[in-house]
Amino acid sequence: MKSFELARPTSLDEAIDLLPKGRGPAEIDDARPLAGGQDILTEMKDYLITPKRLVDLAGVAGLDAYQSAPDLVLGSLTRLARIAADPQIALHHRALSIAAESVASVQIRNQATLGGNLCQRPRCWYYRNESVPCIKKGGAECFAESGLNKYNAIFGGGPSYIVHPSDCATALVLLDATVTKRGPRGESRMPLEQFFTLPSEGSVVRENVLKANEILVQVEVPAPKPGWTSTYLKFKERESFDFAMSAVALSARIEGDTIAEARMVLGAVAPIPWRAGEAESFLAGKPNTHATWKEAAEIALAQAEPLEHNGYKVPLTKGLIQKALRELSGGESK
Amino acid sequence: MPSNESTVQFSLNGSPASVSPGEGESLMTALRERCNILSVKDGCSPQGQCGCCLVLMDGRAVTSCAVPVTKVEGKEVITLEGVSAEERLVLADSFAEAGALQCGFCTPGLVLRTKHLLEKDASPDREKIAKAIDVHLCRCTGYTKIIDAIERVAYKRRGEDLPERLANPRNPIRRADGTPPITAKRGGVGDRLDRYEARQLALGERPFVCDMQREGLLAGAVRLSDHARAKVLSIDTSKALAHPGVVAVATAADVPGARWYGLIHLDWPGFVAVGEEARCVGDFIAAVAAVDAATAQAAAALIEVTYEVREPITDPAKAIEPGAHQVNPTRPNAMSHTRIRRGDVDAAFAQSAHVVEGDFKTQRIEHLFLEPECALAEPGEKPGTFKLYTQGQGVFDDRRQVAAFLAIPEEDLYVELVPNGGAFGGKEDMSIQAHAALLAQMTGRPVKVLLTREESIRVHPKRHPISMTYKVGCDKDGVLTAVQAEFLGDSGAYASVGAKVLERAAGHGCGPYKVLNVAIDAIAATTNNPPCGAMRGFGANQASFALEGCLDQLAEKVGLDGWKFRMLNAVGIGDTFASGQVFEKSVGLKQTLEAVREQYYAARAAGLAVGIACGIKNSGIGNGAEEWGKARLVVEDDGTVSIYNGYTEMGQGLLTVLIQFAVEVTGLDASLFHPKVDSTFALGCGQTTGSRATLFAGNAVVSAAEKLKTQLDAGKTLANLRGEVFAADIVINDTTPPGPLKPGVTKVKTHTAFGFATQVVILDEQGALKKVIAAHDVGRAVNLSLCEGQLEGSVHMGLGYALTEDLPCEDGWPVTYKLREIGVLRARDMPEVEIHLIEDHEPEGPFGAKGVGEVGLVPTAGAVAGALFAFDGTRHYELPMKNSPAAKAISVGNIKRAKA
Repeated sequence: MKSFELARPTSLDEAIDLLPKGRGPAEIDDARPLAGGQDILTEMKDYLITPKRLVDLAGVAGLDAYQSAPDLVLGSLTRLARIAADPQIALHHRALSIAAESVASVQIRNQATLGGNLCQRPRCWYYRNESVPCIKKGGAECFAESGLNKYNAIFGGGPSYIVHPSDCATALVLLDATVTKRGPRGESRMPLEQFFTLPSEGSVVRENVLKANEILVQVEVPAPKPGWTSTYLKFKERESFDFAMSAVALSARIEGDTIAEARMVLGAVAPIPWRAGEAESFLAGKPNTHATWKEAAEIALAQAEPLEHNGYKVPLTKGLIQKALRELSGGESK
Repeated sequence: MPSNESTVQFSLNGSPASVSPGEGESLMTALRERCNILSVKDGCSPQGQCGCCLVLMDGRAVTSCAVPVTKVEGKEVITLEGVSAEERLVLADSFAEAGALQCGFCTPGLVLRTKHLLEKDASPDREKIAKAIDVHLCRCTGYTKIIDAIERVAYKRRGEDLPERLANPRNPIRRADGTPPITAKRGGVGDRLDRYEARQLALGERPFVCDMQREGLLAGAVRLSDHARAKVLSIDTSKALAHPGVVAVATAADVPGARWYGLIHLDWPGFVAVGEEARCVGDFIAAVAAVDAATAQAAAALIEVTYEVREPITDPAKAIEPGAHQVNPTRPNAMSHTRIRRGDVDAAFAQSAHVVEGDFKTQRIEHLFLEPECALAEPGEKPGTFKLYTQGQGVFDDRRQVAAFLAIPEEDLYVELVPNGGAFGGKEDMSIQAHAALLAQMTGRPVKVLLTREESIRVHPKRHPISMTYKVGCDKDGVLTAVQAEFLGDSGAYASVGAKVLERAAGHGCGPYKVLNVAIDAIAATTNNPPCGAMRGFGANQASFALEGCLDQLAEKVGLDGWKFRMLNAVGIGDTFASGQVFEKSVGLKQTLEAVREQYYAARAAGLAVGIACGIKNSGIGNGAEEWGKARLVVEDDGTVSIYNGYTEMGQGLLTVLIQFAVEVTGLDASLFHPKVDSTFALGCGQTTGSRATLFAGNAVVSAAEKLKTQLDAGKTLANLRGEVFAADIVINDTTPPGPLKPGVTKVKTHTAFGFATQVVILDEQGALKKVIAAHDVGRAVNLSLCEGQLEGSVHMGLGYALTEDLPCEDGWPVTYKLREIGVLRARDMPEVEIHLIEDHEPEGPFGAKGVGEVGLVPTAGAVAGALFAFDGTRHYELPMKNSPAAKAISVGNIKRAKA
């Protein structure tokens, strides 16, 4: 790891002032915010980034908000372990509770923060190999597109084919979360869904709209509307702890034998949490049967464009979708 | 001109550096051209896919060709030049001792990587090392010895003793006659002598042509044809000439001498003239000399060429149909037809218990030597004379062709070989030697022409795609009865040595097996595709893949396993080669089969998928060619001995083994000998090809060294012998061409010697490559490390050939120039390779040695295909076998097509 300056501001404005003056990717290596450090330190150890300064957010006031359910307010420094352990969250925002608990190991969850989890960088091994001049690091091409792409995107790829690694992001987009960020020009709020950007839309070297001189302040999740329940299913290659190969966040309002409404977000299949809008529309008002689950899964994956080595994600994700629908239906279909 | 605003300041190897880069200039270009940092090599810029240009930037290892120099502002850049002397010593020693380099072009990048890796992780295991060097492409070594070297450095850095496997590597030699391995004298034959100049190569200190500097040096660039087939209507160079910094622009009109050249047929124009047709996308239209490379390239793009675009002929089958457009004006599209007939195949098939037939197809392969073509030409001291520094595989052929191009006598052109960064057959033909020389003639200044990776791929000849129809029979016991085959090879636009490749494919059409009835026809077709010519194996590989596929099917019908079937039919002394030559000596094939037997059956018993194939490859061109080995040992004033010879060093290790021959004969220390390849003496031997340089140059050096030894034995010392020249020229003119013998000749001898091999490929439970066992009869292993390295590198190339490597062309254009897409395996993709060497003395070779350069990948594809059949029951008839579990487990070779 290259040596760096550790700045320890106490206020948000002070912290922002210590971040790069410019907003663009060119300045991003000048200074970076440090939260739990679970991703950024590994990036620095691997020389993926060599910031001159880390701005430690631990002492910054205003990032530690915590209001438990049903209207959730989670400061960006909230530890994942706390979210996972909160019974109110488990009750009202079950998808988030499961997602937070599924992240890595207990040691990491004790240290990792929600903000860091949402802003973590991709796991693509070409990106993580410091010498591969991949497009995510400012190079000309995505090596995964034609290389070893077992863990890469089946939706929304091009020109980069990373998948977003965050479990919480998938669950929070499902739960219609809002995010607040703050920069030199003050605070702004936006739906979390709009926070994440596709490589073809936003800057290919970033996964979200956060600028080099902005800090994620907090996430708010509205109380669930009556009758809605949610879940999060994650498939890992290694059972103990691992990143998702595919994940499904699903919420639904089921009335009797009918799925009145549903919302579905897929994880680890696209560069952003991938909203399965057509499957949602299809499910609305459909009988809650095996056939419906199966068709919803087909519809959700109809537009998938697998690469050479990740075709397995299509049937895997279909299976997870059906399993999630079954779970919200309380087991078996009627 | 660059203004002060565009100055980039950074720290380079601990000192402040400041450069004023051109538009879009990469860190690599700035380092090489502005900072004289030459350990950083350009293998594929701007792809960042070969790792030759690795530098450390703020502690991060980056491929500097992919980093704009503007991004290093204020950063700290470290190259090998900036590494401490002690550390450089450990790194260079370890790479030299491990035999971890061949051509040496990729090595400095790997050496710097080693330092960087071990600083992060002091004791990485081999798998971790393989992943860490994923960015680096090595075309020579197969990576095994590179990983050995990195391990060596790690042990030394930790202050630990080397483990036995590194300190005393397993001796892989078995003598065919059952005698114990011969003990080598230090530096002599059989020793693991470090490669000549290994340490300098490892540190990037031994210049390649592209590293050479001259006062007033101009950079050349070329303009290639914009179409695979088009009549050139006009060439307007005025804009290029007017471009600031341009000194000269050459076209066909400027060539004073013979514009058409070629190794066999003079059918290849150095420039396409107005009114002529461009015949492939590698044709030269013009060349530019300018103050720097960027200017020359910009000017080359400004040359305005108008064409009448015509439909290219790209299908070899259609090209040889009557009435097809004649691609090359000098000869019909069916360039050659080799015909071999022995016995009566029809009668033999009629009596055979089993007959199998199959249509096989192989692909076009890019050599992908890491150093693209480069030549430097400069005016000589005497007016009208020139010096040419070339990396070609035959410097005397270069001299002959370039002198004719310039219309000067050959004596007025001094040619020197600068050992190249890999060739594998792809540097036999002329590429840019004539263009560099012409620009030097026009400008009166030194000119260096370097091709980009894309231009290189367009220009030099490839390995032939060959369509093969095979029919093979055997009796009820599995004894082969007959082989009938027809080959059609796509030789592209120019002859090169394509006819010889098809001739060799036909000659090797029965492999190393006893077959009494043979009917083989091979046609080389001319098309508008990139030319095809020599590449390691030279036709034998294609034939082997098809034949071994047929043998596997016959073995199954007879009920024999692959090993037994091959042992039953393997040739020995007294058996006959497809060409009719009777093997009389050094036929170690059965011993190579014995060497793999135990592991072959053990792997099968363990339930793994196993494939086996045998290979044969001629050593020496033969087929009636007159071949020479020429050597001069010159005792220099400083008491050293220069070894001059006519063959090329291209990573295979020729210069090192020549030293070993001289040491073996004279008993002098290896450090006293300095090999040289230039035109000081008339040592023209043609191309370094056909696995022949060790054989023939070796014999010449042995003979010359014996003359020196006579003097030393008479009491003279090297000091007494200053200025003496010990000369030996040996000629081989006893081989016979294929076909009917000339009157008076009674014995068929198509080749001087043959190498033999058996390879076993084992797949893992998922069908991925697990292990390759390569057993080779090499006659005598002159240098154990180099010999192993040749075979490990061959297996690497053979696995790529089998599974992932391809250079498809559409409308005459290669569909990709990307290194990863072309499919050369990375370290992480390589299975374990275990080498067994059989020494079956070759009486016509120096100390019993014969060539080993090519045979190492002849059987590989066939063995992989056999293993894949054992795995999932799929028979493969086409290369590469991309649609197989073994290929899918490999990280490269997936060609990205533009989305519709």
